[in-house]
Amino acid sequence: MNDQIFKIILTNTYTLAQLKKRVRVLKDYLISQLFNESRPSLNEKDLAYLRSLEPSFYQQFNKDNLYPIFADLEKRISQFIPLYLYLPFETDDQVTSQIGLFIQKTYGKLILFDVKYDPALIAGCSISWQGIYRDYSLRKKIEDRKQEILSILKGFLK
Amino acid sequence: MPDLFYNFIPLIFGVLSLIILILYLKEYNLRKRSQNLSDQLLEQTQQKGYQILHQAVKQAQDILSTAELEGIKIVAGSKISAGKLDQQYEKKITQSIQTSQDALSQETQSARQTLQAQEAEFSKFLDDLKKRASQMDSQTQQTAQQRINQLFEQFEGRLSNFLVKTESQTTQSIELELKSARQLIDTYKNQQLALIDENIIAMMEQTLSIVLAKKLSLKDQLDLVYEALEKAKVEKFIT
Repeated sequence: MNDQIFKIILTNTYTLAQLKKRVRVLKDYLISQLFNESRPSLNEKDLAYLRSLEPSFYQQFNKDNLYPIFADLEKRISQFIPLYLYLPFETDDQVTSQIGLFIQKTYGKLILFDVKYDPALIAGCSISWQGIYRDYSLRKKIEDRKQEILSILKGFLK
Repeated sequence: MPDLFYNFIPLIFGVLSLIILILYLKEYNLRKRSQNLSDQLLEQTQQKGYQILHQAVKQAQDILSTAELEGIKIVAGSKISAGKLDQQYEKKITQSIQTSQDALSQETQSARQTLQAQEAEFSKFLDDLKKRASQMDSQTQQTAQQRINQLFEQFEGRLSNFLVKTESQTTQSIELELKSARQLIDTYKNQQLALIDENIIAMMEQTLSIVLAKKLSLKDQLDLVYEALEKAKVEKFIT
């Protein structure tokens, strides 16, 4: 049952931060619903996510299994090793969704990632995966072709 | 008994003193008498002496006059015999002188010959000596000249070697200094050029960053990200 719940939560979820936030919002919402506690303050984005879930999904939770299920979910989240994506531009949910979809399409599996902003990259991106960093940015390309570029520039100066 | 003896002591002394006085007076009279006698004897003796002296003088005058007469006689006789003796003596002396002169002449001749021979020998010896001295002098000069020439040659050789060595060392030192200076300049130049290159690249990156941030659309940026992700897949970086 937990696998099914986790799979539903991971649908349309692409970043680790997004996953953590969604699990927290869902947990708070279900606690308020099941234990008649005050409803947490939610923004439009959170509410839209909660509305996107089927009613049958909510029926799987009750007072008894709520905490064990979320404990299991949090444990699974903690075991995720994300892919760190360094981008030279700022992103929003739409951009991260587009990138997430592309990753899923390209690699054929769910890979959660985290986005970090690095304007020095100029264009492109750099990736850190399982402790290994690789630069695929324009800055790296300039570095690689530095001598060539300098010789062209010096050719112009002559 | 002793007391009696002590009573007689002054008496004994008195008697002894009297005897001594009597003896003294007797001696004094004797001496005075003998002195008078000796004075008389002395006077008599003096008188006799004068007489003897007078007689002696008289006899001496007699003897002297006699001797003078005898002397005149002897001188007269001796003058005659002396003339003969002189002639003999002169003859003898002349002979002796002649003999001596002959001997002396012979000795002189012999000595002269010996002297001449020795002089000739000495002259020869001196000539030999001069010749040897001349030879030795020329040999010495020659040896000295050779030695000097040899020394000059050695000195010249050493000086030449020293100069060549010094020149070589100086050249090497200068070359090393120049090499070091060139290396320093090259290093500095390369560092400065590298710094300039770094600055050029940094300026270019900054310019591109500003320009592309404005010029590149979100789609273009995403396309570049997709390209990077595909490349990572090709490289099997993300598995």
